[in-house]
Amino acid sequence: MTGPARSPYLPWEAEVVGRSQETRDLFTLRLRLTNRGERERYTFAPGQFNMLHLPGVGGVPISIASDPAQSEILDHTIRAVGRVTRVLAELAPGNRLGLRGPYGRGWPLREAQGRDLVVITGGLGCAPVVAAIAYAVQRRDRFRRLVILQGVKHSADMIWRSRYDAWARLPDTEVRLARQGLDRPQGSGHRALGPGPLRPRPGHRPGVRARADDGCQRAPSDRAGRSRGPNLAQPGAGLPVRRRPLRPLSARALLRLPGRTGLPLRRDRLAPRRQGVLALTSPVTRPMPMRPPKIASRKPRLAVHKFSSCDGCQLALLNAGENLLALAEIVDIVHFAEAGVVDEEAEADISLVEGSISTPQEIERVKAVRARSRWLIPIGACGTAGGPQALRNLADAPAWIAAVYPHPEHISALPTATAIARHVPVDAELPGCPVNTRQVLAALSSLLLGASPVEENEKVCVACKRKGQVCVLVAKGEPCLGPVTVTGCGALCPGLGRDCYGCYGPAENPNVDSLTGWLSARGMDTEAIARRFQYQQSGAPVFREAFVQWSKRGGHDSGD
Amino acid sequence: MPSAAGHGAIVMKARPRFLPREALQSLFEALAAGGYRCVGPQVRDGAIVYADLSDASALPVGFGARQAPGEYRLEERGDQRCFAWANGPQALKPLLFRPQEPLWQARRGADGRIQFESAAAPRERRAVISVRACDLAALALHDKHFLHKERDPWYAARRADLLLIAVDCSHPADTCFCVSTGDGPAVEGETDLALTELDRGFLVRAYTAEGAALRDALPLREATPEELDEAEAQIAQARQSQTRRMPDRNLRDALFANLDHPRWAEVAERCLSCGNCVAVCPTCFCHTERDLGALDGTASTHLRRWDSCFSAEHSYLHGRLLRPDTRTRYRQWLTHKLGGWHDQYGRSGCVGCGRCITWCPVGIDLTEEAAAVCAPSGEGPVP
Ligand SMILES: Cc1cc2nc3c(=O)[nH]c(=O)nc-3n(C[C@H](O)[C@H](O)[C@H](O)COP(=O)(O)OP(=O)(O)OC[C@H]3O[C@@H](n4cnc5c(N)ncnc54)[C@H](O)[C@@H]3O)c2cc1C
Ligand code: SF4
Ligand code: SF4
Ligand code: SF4
Ligand code: SF4
Repeated sequence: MTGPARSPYLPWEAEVVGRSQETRDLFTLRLRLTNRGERERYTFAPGQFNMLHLPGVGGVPISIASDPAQSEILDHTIRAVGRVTRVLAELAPGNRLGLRGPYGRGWPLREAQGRDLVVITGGLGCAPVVAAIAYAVQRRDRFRRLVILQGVKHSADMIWRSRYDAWARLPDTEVRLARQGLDRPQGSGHRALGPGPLRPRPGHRPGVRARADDGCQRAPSDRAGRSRGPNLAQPGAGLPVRRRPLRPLSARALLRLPGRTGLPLRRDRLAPRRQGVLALTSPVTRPMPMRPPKIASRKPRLAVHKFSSCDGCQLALLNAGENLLALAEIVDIVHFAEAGVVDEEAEADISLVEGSISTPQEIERVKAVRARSRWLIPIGACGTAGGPQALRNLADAPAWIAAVYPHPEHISALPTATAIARHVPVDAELPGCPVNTRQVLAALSSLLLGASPVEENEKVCVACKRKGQVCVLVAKGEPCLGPVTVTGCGALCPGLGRDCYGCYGPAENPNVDSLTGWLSARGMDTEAIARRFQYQQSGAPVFREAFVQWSKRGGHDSGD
Repeated sequence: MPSAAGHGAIVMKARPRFLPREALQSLFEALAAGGYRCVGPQVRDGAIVYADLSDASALPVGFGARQAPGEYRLEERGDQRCFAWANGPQALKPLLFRPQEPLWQARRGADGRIQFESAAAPRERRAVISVRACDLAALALHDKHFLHKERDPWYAARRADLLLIAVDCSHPADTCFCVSTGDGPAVEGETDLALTELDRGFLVRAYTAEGAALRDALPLREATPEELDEAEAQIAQARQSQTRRMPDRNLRDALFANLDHPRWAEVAERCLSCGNCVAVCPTCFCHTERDLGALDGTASTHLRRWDSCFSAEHSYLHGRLLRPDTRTRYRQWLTHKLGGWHDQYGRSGCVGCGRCITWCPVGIDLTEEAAAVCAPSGEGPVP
């Protein structure tokens, strides 16, 4: 407590008192506030949620799935989908975390008293209704008929399998389950699901994508232990459930923290970048089976590798001052040539990789680094997009080499300079030219706690405005690329009165056409616009396209 | 809380008195004597911004500003006026709702227990000079948002320590439309002190006890009838000069009836989804949170920062973006601002300041978009 007006934002400490695995990626944490007074004061209504906080990692809103009558014990059923929930998934009884709430309005169940109660949910939305159902079941005489309808897209979302039956056995209670007919596994067109409890609905036309409502069927409660819903899709019924592959489970957190055991350091595999859909920057493609380190016996290992680059990004770490010393106490720096530690072959938990791939030898070398690293993280414009040297991708590199060098046969170079992720799977990316100390340390501190680094996806403008900087585009007409560039720099250039030149690369959902169109309409000449996209990030597809497009308009061949 | 803002302060009948221009420094002296840190407008980096200011000579004397969609330029006026411009990129919002601030710290002890400690609420008496009518209307909305049931401790502390010195708008920008939203250009209460700038000095009105105390410390004389007439004519002129307008004060139903209007896709062709409009809007209040952890995992700071419905994270839920494209993000901004606010706060979230129009890097004008979306089908935007 901090005096009478406790901040409504301040979490209470909660202890994990139970944990159960519901499905492969769905688990329930049973939590108890450690402060007795608060535990007794705490009440919630069905439908409300708590914020669960893992210090240093982040906080997520999670519904309360237990009976409001027993508010000293709070169940949270959680699907491990991302960086915070995946760390939550590793908590074990005795571990502590922060909890604040309850939030949200809750459902007005009292108003339903004396009437039929129909509970309809979709997908994981069923997590909080368990609280409502528990509430009604405890006070069964206050309601008339109880009907529970759950519609899901994927059979994996039918998470209360054991409870459907229990509910269905209650007097005057009906459980109806509906599943959308066709799951669509990644990239493979329509596939039907046919997990055990789901059965074809008699008379259903095959091949028709069913509406959830026409699939409603009473879940028979005649057989103990299994309720049954319909299988709406005939073709392929009986195929095994296809889900997104989960990441390897074996790895553990790199840091031993008191009160938090068994945290994973799994390599989160990120979705491929889809412009305008997800902000994720890492085109990771496949999981790498890695041997987990025996963390009890050693410190986490950090390596810093260099490919075609200027060494500037490594300076972000080298110049970290006290933090570098602190880091050196926590991790073993096994390879960091610029700092004088050289062992290219060393195995590492975290490998930061600077530079692009521009020679045939580098392809082999980066594969070797990948094989020796649990987490591989390209840093800087070179590592994430090719860097300034990717300009060669826009030209005829062999012709240049032949023109410049008296003995071109001694030059062993690829015709292109490309991002690390074009050659090996990567686990996260830190863009920037160069990356900065704050950015690298934040990523390392997250990794050491077992969570993937927070992906920056705000535009430079957002950081610029938070700093209270005057917009150089609006107030001076400078051709600022802030609105299409991802931040990470903290809007450095506009703060110095100059326009952003895009060194962190394109942001999510960038509208380059609109910005360049605006600049052009205000008199900026075509060639100058094309040049804006020709600096460190010409290797990033969005900027490269802008360069090519504006070069063409200017009557120049992009291949020059 | 010194200022009125609907918090039970004494609202006084404000009888204007006159402060000669040469005596303006006395206002700064009175504020310093009252222990206030003073924030006011000044020229920096090509715009009029609000920052610490303790001297009348640092005001934007002789400056004006031309504002148009996507464009802001300072202008030399060649006179002695300090407040002859409409507004800058920001006023009160960043002072009360900080762009980024720590909410709490967590510490993990050797026994595995976690201790959470709230960030202290700051205590500092601050006076802001040159708050405009639209800023006061926006402040009243932020009060509703941040001081309802669960008071935000940091906003509440800063708000309680805030002294407001408002100025009537004499020179609205081309982007202003506060007349149509009913929020300006004249200051009508909700402030501690109000000034009307005339050629030779200022009319001064006090609305609260604190404002009256400040007023009484200034070398004022009775205002002449001519001065009162001049002030009235000036405000009438300011009203008339506004050509831009919001089509209606309540567009809630019209907007929600037009969620599939083709105009949303058209504006998305131009919109950069950059969030500048939200950042400069004095009423937007969305934030996101971040944890900054120590390297060794034993401590972390929990921050909140301004967010906007144009960012991906704003609609990120359970591994999905609910608003993946600019069409849905722009629609969220307009339908919340001009629609949903009526349900939440009993009025539109737009106070007609025009900032989002000026500071949009590609000059998107929300009044035009609102008119286009809400026009009966077949009609173009209201001219
Ligand atoms: C009211 C409410 C109740 C909920 N109840 C439940 C429940 O009972 N059970 C349950 O399992 N889930 C529930 N959820 C959903 C749950 O909160 C999310 O699945 C969870 O926040 C995911 O967090 P994460 O850190 O694991 O995911 P991540 O994907 O790693 O997200 C981590 C953080 O980074 C940000 N982020 C990550 N990726 C992106 C991106 N591409 N673009 C922008 N920002 C990104 C996110 O904003 C988030 O804050 C509920 C949500 C709400 C709002
Ligand atoms: S100066 Fe650049 S980064 Fe800053 S707000 Fe303007 S356009 Fe965005
Ligand atoms: S929506 Fe635009 S005009 Fe309206 S208050 Fe916000 S910034 Fe001002
Ligand atoms: S308009 Fe957008 S940023 Fe502003 S308050 Fe509404 S949702 Fe938040
Ligand atoms: S309306 Fe303008 S300021 Fe707002 S997000 Fe779109 S481009 Fe940016």
